[in-house]
Amino acid sequence: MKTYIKEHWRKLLVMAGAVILLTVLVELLVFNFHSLFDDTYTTRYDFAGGQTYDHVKIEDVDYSTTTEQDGKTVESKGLETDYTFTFPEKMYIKKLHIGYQSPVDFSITMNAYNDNGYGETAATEYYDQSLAAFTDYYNNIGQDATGCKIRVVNNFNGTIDFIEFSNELTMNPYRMFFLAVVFSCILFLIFGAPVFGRKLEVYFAFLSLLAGSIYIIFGGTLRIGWDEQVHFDNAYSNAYFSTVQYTEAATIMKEAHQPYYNTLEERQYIADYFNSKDNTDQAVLVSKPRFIPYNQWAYITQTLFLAIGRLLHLPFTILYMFGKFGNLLLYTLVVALAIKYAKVGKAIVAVIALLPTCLFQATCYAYDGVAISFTILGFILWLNEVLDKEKKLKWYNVLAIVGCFVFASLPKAIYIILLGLLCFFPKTKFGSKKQRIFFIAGVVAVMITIIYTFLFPVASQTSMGNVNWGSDVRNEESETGIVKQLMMILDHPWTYTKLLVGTIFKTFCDYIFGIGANANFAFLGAYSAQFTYLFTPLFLGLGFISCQEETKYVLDKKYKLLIGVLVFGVFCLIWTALYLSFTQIGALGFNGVQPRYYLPIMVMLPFLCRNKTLVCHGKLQNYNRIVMAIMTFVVLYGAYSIMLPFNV
Amino acid sequence: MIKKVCNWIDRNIRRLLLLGMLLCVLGIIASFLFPNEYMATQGYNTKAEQLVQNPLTEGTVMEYKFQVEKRLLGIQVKYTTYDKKLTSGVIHYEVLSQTDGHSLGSSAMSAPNIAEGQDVLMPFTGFETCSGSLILRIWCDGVTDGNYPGIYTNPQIIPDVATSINGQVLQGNMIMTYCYPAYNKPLLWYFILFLFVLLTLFAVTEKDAPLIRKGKKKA
Repeated sequence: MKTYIKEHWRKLLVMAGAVILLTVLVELLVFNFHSLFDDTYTTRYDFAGGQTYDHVKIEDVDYSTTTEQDGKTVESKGLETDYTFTFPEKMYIKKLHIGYQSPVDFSITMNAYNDNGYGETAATEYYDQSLAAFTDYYNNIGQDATGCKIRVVNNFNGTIDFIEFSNELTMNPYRMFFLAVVFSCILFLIFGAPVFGRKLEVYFAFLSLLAGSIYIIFGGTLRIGWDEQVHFDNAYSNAYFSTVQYTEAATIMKEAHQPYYNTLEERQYIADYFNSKDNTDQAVLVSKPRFIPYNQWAYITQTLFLAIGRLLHLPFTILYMFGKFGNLLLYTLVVALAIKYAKVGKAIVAVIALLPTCLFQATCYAYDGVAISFTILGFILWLNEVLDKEKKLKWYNVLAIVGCFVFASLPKAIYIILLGLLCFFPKTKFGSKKQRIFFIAGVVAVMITIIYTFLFPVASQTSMGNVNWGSDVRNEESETGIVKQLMMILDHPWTYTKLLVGTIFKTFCDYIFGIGANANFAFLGAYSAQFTYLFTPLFLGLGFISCQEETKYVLDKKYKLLIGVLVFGVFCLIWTALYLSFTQIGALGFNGVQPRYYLPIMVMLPFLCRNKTLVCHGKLQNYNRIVMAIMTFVVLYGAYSIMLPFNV
Repeated sequence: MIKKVCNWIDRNIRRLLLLGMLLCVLGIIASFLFPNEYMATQGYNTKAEQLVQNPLTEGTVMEYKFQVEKRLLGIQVKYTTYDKKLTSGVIHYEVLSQTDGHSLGSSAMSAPNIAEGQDVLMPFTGFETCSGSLILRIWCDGVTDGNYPGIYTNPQIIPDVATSINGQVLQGNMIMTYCYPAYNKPLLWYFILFLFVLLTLFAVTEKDAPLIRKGKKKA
């Protein structure tokens, strides 16, 4: 690396310059086109002193509506104030800014009027909430308008101080960072050809860290990940030894009460709000056990980064993102190692690890990143051993494989089934039969120790006759209970088997190729469903077509069958776990199973399809480069279309 | 240096694994011999319905008479700040024996640390053994801005328990959680897991195996 930089520093410097130049040019010419080539202006209408304007009509409307609720007619009263603007001439509105005072949260809707191209006036609606805790409302409009109507709904006992329209030139730092990353990736893809051959991990780490940083920075303090408040609380509390200091900001986060923003300006004042509420002198102190529970070890880097952030006295908003960066760093490092050591299928590993949902989970407070990355590394190390049948097993390789599978299954014990792969090493890998038997016994004992963590509570509660134990409090709609459900399954094994197998097959394509698993940003939304048409050929291509250089390593049918059986076993456990804990007792369907639960084992599926018949005769370097170009687009598309709009 | 360390580990791996297994076994035994004491909470009167706020103004003393069989490590009481941010004041608490009235210990905590509706832990650290018939006495002083904390009570009537303010018995009781010592073995599972992992590794090592790591040859 050092030598490379020494030799190519001029080239790298030129590229860095090109990236900066392109970024500034695109930011100016594309995203500030209207500010540069139309009039730049800020027009403010003050209403605080009861001022009136010729072309502004203000109208108060008290209304009451009746709705039917549970057979009863419920009357609700509301208050609307309409501000209707007729502009002297058509103008481009980039941003709407409203100053207000209000004791309650309320909503503001703007209808912008413009010619629809057929000579008729059409309205486009922009809606957003205003929070009582703040005094400024911003919304991105970005269209020409001849007039507009701003409707303030239910601002009880509040005032509107001013309404401001603007079209100012703004260099958005978040968008510029995104553009810089895009151009850097493009240049890497064009000029970094040798890396895509045998050093694919370098490009993976480059893209994962940059795109992951974008996800973290764009996500800011928003509540974005699944149950993120719970995961944050786990990571945060473990950053303290025995007494946790919950500042007001940390409490807001762990209770998921953070304010929502969707513009650059709102993000800034919400950041100030959080930072002002991070006073440790006024923190609530809560005692906790000194030992980290086994199922919370997966947060270790998030915890470590939060602890470092606290020591460095980082502002809370930075600290919150810094903790997530710990997760991303571990994920990138582990997957990069998997790619580096993979004898075959480096592109498969990179693609699975770069799936938007995987990367997204690695940039949230969550344990999925650990489960996915360590399963991948464990599987790749196992695969290397199986593909090299003659080489004897070494203790450090076994330690690495067992360590990966155990660590991956600490937060979600069902994945420990994959450790069963180790029981099927070829006989040639052992010195003697006795050695092999001892080894298998050890592996089984490790599996049982992990399985014990979720089977023991069920077994002990069942033996104590506590049939109501184990209901999931998140599912308030229906009666659930692990013990009762388990008894129901044991009473009707055939019915449950049919239901389970039928459901797995019915959902298989959607859960493997669909956006639900592969391109889902939780509370921020998922990619367009059309991405399924990209993922399907990509996965099938990766699975069935391999490069000439990789064909010497194809798994035996025996091992393909073994992987298939274990993967199917994990599928069964995933569905059964949720059937037991989250589904109504005796229901003929499943609740709570999310496609993302398949992600840790996704990497194994393409290896089942690898063969010596469908071979790509091109260079591995080009094959990998094309695949990585697709993944670069996929990963950055979500950052632009789903996450960036919250920051402009 | 790294090469030397790796080779040394390779040479001695069986001994190291055996040592690790021995440590795990010792750890398992130690887990049973010296279990970890922790604070287990048991809600006693926790219904948050029809709550009444009782201000702890200067000179007000709240008393809670109760009986416990096991030794108490502390108690949790539900406080109110009247939806204000408390900036000053110290809350004092003392535990007395009902039988002879002697003090088993007292302590204090800062009022500004309290949040609205928080079940605040009042540890009995350094107290004499708190069990049997007890009286918990709580009062507050040092408030400079007139914003006093308060304690929630509910109308629940409980046998052998009474809450009073300045000697006047209330029709109800404080929202209470008792904290007892409990014991667990937090490292036991890890010792067992590591023991099995080390056993697995031991199975793939051989006596007098040739050195594996040769290191990079210098040019």
